[in-house]
Amino acid sequence: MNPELRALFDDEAQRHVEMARAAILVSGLHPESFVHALRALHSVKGMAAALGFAEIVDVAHAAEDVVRDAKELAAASGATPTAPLAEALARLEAALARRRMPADADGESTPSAPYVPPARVGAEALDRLVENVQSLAVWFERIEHSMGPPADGAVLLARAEARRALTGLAREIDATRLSRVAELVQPLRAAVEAWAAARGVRVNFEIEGSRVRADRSLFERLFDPISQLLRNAVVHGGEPPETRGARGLREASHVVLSFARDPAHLRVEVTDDGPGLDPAAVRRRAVACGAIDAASCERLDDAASLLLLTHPMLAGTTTADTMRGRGVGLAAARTAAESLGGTLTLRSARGVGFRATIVVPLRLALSDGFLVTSGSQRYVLLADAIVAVRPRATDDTSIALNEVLAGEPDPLARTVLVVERDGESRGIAVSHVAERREFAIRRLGPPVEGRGWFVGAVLLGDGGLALAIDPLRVLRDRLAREPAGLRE
Amino acid sequence: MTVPSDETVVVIASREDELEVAVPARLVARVETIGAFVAVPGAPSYVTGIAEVRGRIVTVLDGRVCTGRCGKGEPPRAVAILTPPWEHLALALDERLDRTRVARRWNGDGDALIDENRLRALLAGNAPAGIRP
Repeated sequence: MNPELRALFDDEAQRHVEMARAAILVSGLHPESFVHALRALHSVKGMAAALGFAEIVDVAHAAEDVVRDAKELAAASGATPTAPLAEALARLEAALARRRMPADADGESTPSAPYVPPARVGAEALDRLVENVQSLAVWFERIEHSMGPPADGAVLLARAEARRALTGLAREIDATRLSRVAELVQPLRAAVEAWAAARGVRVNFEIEGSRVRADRSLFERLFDPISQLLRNAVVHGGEPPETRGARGLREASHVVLSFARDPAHLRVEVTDDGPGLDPAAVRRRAVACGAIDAASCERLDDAASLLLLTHPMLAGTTTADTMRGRGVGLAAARTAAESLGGTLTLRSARGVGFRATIVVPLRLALSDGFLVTSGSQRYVLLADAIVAVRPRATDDTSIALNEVLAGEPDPLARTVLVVERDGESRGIAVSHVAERREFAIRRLGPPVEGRGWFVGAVLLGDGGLALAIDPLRVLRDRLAREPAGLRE
Repeated sequence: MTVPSDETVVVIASREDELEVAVPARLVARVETIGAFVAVPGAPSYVTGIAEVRGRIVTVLDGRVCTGRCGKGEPPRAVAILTPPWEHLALALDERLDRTRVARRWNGDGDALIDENRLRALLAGNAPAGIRP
């Protein structure tokens, strides 16, 4: 197994155990605390199952049972049974510690062997590294500017070498921070097979968009919620072949994990073609258990009704075994998505399957783009919709980028990037196209982000800054303002 | 607006002929010299531009415009970077400020104080009269 994934599991599992301890032993025993603890333990169990750590799955499941029993006892008698909870967490921590030890040929743990953890650099440490390298690039540029051109050839050579090393370092660090979906999700294939085998169902599992690249730390934090959603898809969406046959479906259930990215967001979707859920039934259950009053519930649409499954009073109320999610899985996925500034949306109806979608904002994304000059500023235009680059003709109807952005004519706009959208094409004219390559695009946040055409900003290798523009937004905005008939 | 007299502030703009503009010190993470800077076309008028500060990108706000005064219209050399959840924002620091007097007890006009409420209002698009949101 990928040592990075093992290290990620160790870190995340320990974090969840600490969250569970904080919830039930420090924060006080009330219904919300129990649900927080259940979510944390469920996350450990889900990740362990995804990576094949069977002992941890069992111990985490047993700990969930202890929490559940304690919750019921507290509700019934007001008693606060902290000792069994502490023991359950201690057993889980011991199991996690055993997992960290190397196994001998018989698969037995050998405590005497020293454990050497793999080198794993946290995303925050990488962020600081990126910041320092960028700062170095800026000050290097300032020193060069102050010194002027060197008269000595040796100094000239040394400066060129230093710049080359600095640019290489910056690109290497950016590449380290970004990873492909494929690198992370491969272990999930084995997990899906194991869950399907345990449930006695056949599952045809597909991963779409595995070449999408984004911030590694984001993928790491999505691993647990994706595991939860996939397990739900197999456990609740998977049906025996005979049941599916009776519904006129193929014998194997179809589960799809898909990734897609736009300039500012990563979208992860888990879909199954199982029996689905009736939103009306969820509404009835929510009212019955007091999670919401009947009048408010009536006003909810189907998507909002399905999200009631993540409510503390619904999550964790159904009968459970080691495979069933108790609704806690969806709650954990929602909590993880929202902690990343994103959303979880659910769609389902009886007989048509279930779809869970997580959309999270990207802090950093690698995008193919053109570095251009327009007016006195440099910009990066995302290359997704740009189909050609050509010189500007005299009777050209291209939009000068500087006219759109600054409202000023640009007589030097002589190069046209042709943008295509829904079969329509239009040129965006700029003064100069410097290069086309992948750029690490950083989010800007409000009030700039989401306004106009900007999707982020790029720190350039020479220490400069460039705003990143979605040319489709420029085109859409411009076409909306002018009469038809002016298009290319 | 009444401002507690014991509020420590970071003064971000000051001229002899006008009131000071300040931000509560508890909202300031640090004061930094900026690296690269670019203007943002079409941004709200209280946005001076974006800047690189020690490898991070921050959106720089003009405190004068935030408080309904005329902007300075020049890129700043130093900024006061705000604390979370506004860590991606920075307030431009006036070059004429006496740096030894930047942080001190506030005794000025409350309307020239950029506090949490004013930041929230600006980001929600509720800018003071005369400011392009």
